[in-house]
Amino acid sequence: MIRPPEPDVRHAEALRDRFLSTLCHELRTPLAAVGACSEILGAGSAMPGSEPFRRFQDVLSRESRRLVRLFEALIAFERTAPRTPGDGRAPVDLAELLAEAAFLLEPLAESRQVRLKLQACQADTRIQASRDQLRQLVLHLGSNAIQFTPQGGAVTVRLESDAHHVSLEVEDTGVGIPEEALERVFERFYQVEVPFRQGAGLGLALCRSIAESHGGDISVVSRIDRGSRFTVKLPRDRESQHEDIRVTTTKSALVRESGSAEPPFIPAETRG
Amino acid sequence: MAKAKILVVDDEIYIVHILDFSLGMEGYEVVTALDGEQALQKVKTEQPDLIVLDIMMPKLDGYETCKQLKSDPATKHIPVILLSAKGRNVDQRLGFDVGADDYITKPFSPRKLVERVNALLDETNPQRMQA
Repeated sequence: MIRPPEPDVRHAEALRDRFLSTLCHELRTPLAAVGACSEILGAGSAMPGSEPFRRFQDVLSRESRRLVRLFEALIAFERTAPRTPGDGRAPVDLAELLAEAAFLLEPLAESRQVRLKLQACQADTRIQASRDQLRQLVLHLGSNAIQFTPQGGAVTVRLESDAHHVSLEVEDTGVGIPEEALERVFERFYQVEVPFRQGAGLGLALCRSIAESHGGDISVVSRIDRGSRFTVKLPRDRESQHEDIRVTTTKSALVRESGSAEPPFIPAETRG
Repeated sequence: MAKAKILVVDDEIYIVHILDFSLGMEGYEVVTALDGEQALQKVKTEQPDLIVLDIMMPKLDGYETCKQLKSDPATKHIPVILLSAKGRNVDQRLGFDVGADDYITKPFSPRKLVERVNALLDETNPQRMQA
């Protein structure tokens, strides 16, 4: 969808306003649970030791932790979220950045017994970018992929490059994303329902925000029980970043089990 | 006379537990649903006397659920309280536009919510005997 042209600063402010408005909404539910449980327990209407009493204690504890996660996510977002397009940009070599991120992700991969593979690219992978923001983006995509990949699986991080763009891909052999969730994974506070869910649902929204503020986009293809591949496509030069921010959209697509025109994306050596 | 029956609809299971307990303590019979579609089914099978309905839910949101209930002659008489984290005036207006009888924002006090349920049931059925 093409946005009508507007000053970049106003656009950045609008993104931040939307974020704050969503955050206020998301805080209300755990606050409601904590407030209501405190009232019930304080009024003595649930007998200590009874099943409802234990249940409300459990709700208090879980929803307090959820509030903490939201708060931590807010801090992380405030620290790295782009304020205005072009903020703090300098030449960044993505190959170097990826090597650094892989070094930081290796302990997590090892602890979960997931192979982490880095596929470099011979071409020039330098772009004008905010190093901190892109580092955050790569670390989030990488750690997400590792967490959603079962023991013995693999996560591959690779770079591709053409005359106008550098693409960063993070591919896993993990659990995959359900079709109904694919369109929503980049929304703020959206979380795919999994038994071991963590975080506050802001990581991918932040990744999208960072990609878009660099004039790029982020997309995902996924197959249940086969894996997911996230692709971040970033323009090379600052001029195109400045222009593209008004017209980029975030795309999601599903690779179907059969009959798809999409080429298979999971490399043979990582299948099964 | 039978106890009034309340249908509680929310995709946050904790909120369902809280409402189930609080309304149960008041003597109401509580039935529950986790989304709008389930709620419409439960309304048919359970025929509740009042519905406490969340707005942001999967499948069918609270606005659409309320709109469908209020446009069906078989269910439009059932009072609906929207209970939502959407706290802006425009959200509340939209709630009343789709036919809600009351609107409560989260965070909420369970005691006050029970009072509103009591009041709305008294208002819509003055002959009602509380449980």
